[in-house]
Amino acid sequence: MISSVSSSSSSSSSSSYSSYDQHQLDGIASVRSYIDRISTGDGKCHGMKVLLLDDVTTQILSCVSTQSEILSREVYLVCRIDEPHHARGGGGGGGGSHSLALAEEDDGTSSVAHVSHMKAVCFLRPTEINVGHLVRELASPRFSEYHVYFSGILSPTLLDLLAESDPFERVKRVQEFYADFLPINPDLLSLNCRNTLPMTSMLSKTANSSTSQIRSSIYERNLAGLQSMLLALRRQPAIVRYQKSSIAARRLATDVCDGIRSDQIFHFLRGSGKPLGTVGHVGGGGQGDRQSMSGGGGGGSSSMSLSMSSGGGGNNSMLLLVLDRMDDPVTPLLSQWTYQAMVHELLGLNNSRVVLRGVPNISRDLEEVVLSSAPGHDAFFQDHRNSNFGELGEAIQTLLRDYQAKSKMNSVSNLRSIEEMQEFMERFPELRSQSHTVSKHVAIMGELARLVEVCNLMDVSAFEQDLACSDDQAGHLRELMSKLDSPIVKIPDKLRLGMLYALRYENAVPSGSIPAVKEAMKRGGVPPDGVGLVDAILKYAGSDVRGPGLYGTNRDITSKLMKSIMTSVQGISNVYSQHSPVLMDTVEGAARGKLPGQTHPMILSGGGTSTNVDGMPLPQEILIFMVGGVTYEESTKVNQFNQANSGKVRVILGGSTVHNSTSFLEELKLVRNGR
Amino acid sequence: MASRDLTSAFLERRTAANRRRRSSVGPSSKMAPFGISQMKHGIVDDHLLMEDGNALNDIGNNVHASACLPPDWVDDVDAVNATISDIRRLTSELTSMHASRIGTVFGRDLDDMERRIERRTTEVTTLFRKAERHLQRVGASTRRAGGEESLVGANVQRSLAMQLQSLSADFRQGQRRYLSDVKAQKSGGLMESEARFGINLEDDGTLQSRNDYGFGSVQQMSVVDDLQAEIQSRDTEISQIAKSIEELGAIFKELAVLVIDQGTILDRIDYNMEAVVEHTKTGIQQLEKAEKSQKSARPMKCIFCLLFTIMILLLILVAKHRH
Repeated sequence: MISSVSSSSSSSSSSSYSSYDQHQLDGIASVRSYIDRISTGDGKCHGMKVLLLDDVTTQILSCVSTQSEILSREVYLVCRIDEPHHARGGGGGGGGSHSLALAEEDDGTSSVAHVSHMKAVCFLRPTEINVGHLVRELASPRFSEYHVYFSGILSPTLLDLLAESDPFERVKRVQEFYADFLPINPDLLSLNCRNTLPMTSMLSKTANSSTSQIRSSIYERNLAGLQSMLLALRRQPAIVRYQKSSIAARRLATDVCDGIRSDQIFHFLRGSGKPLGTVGHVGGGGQGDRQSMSGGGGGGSSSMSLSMSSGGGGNNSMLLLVLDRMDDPVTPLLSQWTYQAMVHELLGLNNSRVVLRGVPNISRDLEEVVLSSAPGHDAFFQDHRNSNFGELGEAIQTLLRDYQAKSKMNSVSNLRSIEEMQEFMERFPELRSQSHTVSKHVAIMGELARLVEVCNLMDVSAFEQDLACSDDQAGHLRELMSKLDSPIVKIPDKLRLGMLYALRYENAVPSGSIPAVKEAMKRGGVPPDGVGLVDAILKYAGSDVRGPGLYGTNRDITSKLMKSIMTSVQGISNVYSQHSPVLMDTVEGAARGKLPGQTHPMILSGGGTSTNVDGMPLPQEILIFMVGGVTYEESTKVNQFNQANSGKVRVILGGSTVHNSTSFLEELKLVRNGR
Repeated sequence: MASRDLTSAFLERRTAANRRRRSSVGPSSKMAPFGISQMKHGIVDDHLLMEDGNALNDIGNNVHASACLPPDWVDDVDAVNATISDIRRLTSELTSMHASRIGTVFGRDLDDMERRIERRTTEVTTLFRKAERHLQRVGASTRRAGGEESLVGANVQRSLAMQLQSLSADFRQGQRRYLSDVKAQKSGGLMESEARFGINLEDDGTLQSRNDYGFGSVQQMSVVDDLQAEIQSRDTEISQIAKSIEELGAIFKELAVLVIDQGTILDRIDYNMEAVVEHTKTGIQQLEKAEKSQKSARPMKCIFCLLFTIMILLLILVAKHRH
């Protein structure tokens, strides 16, 4: 909530201190408040506005806001800055003699004249490409004013470049608003940055090809995203730890620490004794801004440190944990049974959009639907995104029954008098939106149920869970072979089963079963490309590369014994949700202060690393960032953990992207090709 | 939710950069009069002229861009905004008037009050119509302009329509409440007047025994007439209000076409942007197709073919007649 406390805006920021008190770690709320400020031009841009976005910021904006919301803020045009708009007149195209082309050009120039009374609000990532587009735009400005907001830390050279190339002085404001990630759920953040799996292996090599450049741009994206998560949540991590087995995690953690040390923007009024960093990257006026920024203004400082200590229980409250997908290749391969995860696994949930085109018996307006967790969108989805398939069926049934009761009450035949008709008219819009919600969820549910039936998923998933959770090589091999030969099981499922088996029994004593499995996979119809992925996943996350923890190998004998006794006494509550991701062991360990330093070392303030983590205070907040992407299963588990520990610990899960098995396997192919 | 303001740093740098630029541009601007004088002397230096023209053009563009008046439809938008604020003001007045009307049962200014309410109601209704007219004009003129402007126009229409719709819904609700209250009061009022009538009768009986026998007297007739007049006036009042509701309903329906359903895919920002790109793509495809068909040589070939045939036939004709 704390805005840039430059002298002019100090009044507005001091009024926002009060809301800071209720500020809990909530990704959606943070990004929303940024977007609110951007779409109003931070209160300084009135009148008709145009929003200029880039590829990533478009996704971020649409994740938390809607068309009608930005329309109500007088944003009447949204366009991409990287789009070659035809409004650039006077270019003198080759086919200019043609009458049609001429007409088009005329049209273009006239529209330049006609939109130039509008003001432009730019929300862009601070990349060279975007600044280049902006420079080109400023050379022949189409709009009367430019308010530029960057979603991350802008490098001083780019700021210089921008300042050099504004001959008409159209830029009114330049500001950094750190909304550089997509808040999918309040406790799940994603960068929507694909192809990060190969990063793990590529970083270790000093590759000289062009791929290394692509990797490094992906790495920069991840670093900027993680930094913006910290800034948007207004937290300076007290401790930064990383997963030892991953070089990518280590480098990311080190770089984040360096960034925090060198830029005062990260310093959120800790104890006054803490020395603030001295190297600001913009000198002069920028430095002054920065200091007043981190100072937070005189009036508000006391209340803020108060709320900090009450909410966080002292100074050292947040733990930043950088992990790598590599440690747990099993979770993205499993079938999912909770709503959000299931939709993503079976239908694909991209930027909270689900494409239902091609589904049998779908009506036209349901060909693409929105499943968003942002507040005010879809209360049903918000409540049930973590419910399992069975609960979901019941919930949808009650939803349908409620709706039917309501619509019966409001049916047209019941209308006898004018008054009733008028009342109906008033309730009609609400009823209509409800009807849309109901039909949307019913359609999705119907399709999920159909896919489960067609793909024989109940059966497959039970075996997957068994493969992931228990040790019985002979039995598993027998069942796997029968599944691979069975014509009912779909080919992608065969591939997943084969990979799960290979991961589990990679180093089993009677070796040689894996080649046999591969043979069986080929026989079962898996393309050779897919069979190759078995080797790829073993290379990417085989037992000698990944850290301990998968399949409970880091648990000692007693806890293993305890667990087996517990399961034998209580029985397994749900066959389809036995599996618990490695992440949860890590989270629980970290929350109880029992995460060993051998596997997850700490970054020292001096720059080195240490495996000695004894005597560290327990974290009240944990931000986990997983290089290579997270899964909805992990998000669901984290959500359950937060609910069980509300008031004590709050965990926010962030990742490069959110995987389903399809996207995970696609990226694995890159790993294989990269080597 | 930290943020950082780089404006002051940026402005500093920009001023420095522009100052530098101006000082470096300085000498070339001194060239300009030289070029003009050369032109006066009739010595045409192409290169200098071109540079001059460019500079002039640049200045012209600059002036044009900064002093460019917003298109006409912006005035319409302003008009709609003004109308909306008018409607807001009037509706709030109307609500208080309704309240005071409902509050009073008797009184001489009752009719006057009702008349005023009536006038206000029609005023608001006409304002709604006016706003809608302006809105349609915005749509029409921006659609004519095409391109980005039509998109802006559509979005402006949508946003204003949303505001108008919620306003009109509020207004109609207020009207309806008032109507039902007045109706309730009317039936109550009738009973009251009957009671008054009864009391009058008793009064008549005790005070004016002369009229005891004349039950169908003139006085009684006049009371009935009064009642009838009252009923009629209330009736017209109610029908008028109903009419205004009807009109508003029509507007409501027209506006509803413009308003987006919230929560659907149509309300997604990225979906809309993709749709625009898609539209542009199909537009370009169609343009290309049109160009191709225009360029295509088939019709020309036909024409030449026919001309050739005609010539041959003519030759044959001439040859035949020579014999």
